[in-house]
Amino acid sequence: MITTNVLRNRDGGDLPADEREILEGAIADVKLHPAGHVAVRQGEPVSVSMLLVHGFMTRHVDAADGRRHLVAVHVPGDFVDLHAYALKRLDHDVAALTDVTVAVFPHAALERIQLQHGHLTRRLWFLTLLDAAIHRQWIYRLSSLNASARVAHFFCEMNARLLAVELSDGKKFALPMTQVDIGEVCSLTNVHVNRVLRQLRELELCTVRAAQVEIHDLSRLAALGNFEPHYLYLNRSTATRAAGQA
Amino acid sequence: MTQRPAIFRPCEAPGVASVEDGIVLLDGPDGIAVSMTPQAARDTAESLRQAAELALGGSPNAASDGTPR
Repeated sequence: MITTNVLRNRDGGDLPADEREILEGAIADVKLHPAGHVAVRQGEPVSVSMLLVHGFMTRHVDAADGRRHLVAVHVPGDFVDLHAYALKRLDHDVAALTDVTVAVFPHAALERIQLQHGHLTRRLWFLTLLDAAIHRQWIYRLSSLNASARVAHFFCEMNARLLAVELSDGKKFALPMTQVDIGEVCSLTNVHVNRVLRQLRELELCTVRAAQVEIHDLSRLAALGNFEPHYLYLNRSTATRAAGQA
Repeated sequence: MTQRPAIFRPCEAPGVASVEDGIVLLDGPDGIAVSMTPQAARDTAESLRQAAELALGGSPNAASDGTPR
């Protein structure tokens, strides 16, 4: 099913079959976009929302000085712009980091869900609140953590989110991001990221090679990054694994 | 009403500077993580030194051990 990863392994349980069927019925189209494609541009009117089915997407803000700032990374199961349903235009771009498959939900279909299915509406609201929780942690990461802790925290978060949709086994996952991308997430230069990745390897915490992150000691990596997965609202077993305590 | 202690306070631990590929990296204190060209690092170091001397009640032109230059 297209919506298999929506709310998978989160607090509150997976979507029941009847609600999943309603959600599947609201999909108007499934589209493929190549890496680099900007699916939504900042400020433009939006009448659909997209669920990421395969691949990775980002939200980014272009600063006045021309620099791009990655402000979110999305994995399969994420509704990358569900907030556009209420906002109708976005304050950031949404772009494909890799080749992606997205399911397109017209806002009219989401409105029917809102009017007729209160419980499902609250579960979808949960997704936008989850986005907000992740943004709060990103602010914390940038304001309070040093360079190596920022990168460690980011890797732990991606591991946890990919664990939830079974794209990480808890030790290894694909992260199709360049050092420049990681630098944008962690507000570090390429040189700084390069040095941190070497430190993490030398400390035998994790290795990044060919867009793959291999975690050697998750509990120590989480300790370095002050990472606790509570803000991802994972179910208990997934949260335990994400914290490196399983 | 009890007042919460401020989260952000003046740092007592110094930052640590290092070099990577000809760039000066400053890690810490707290959440600071900055990359600078050598000249920018040198100018920042001098600016910090002068401000520290003033904060200690001396002259901004004092040497790093506090003696006048």
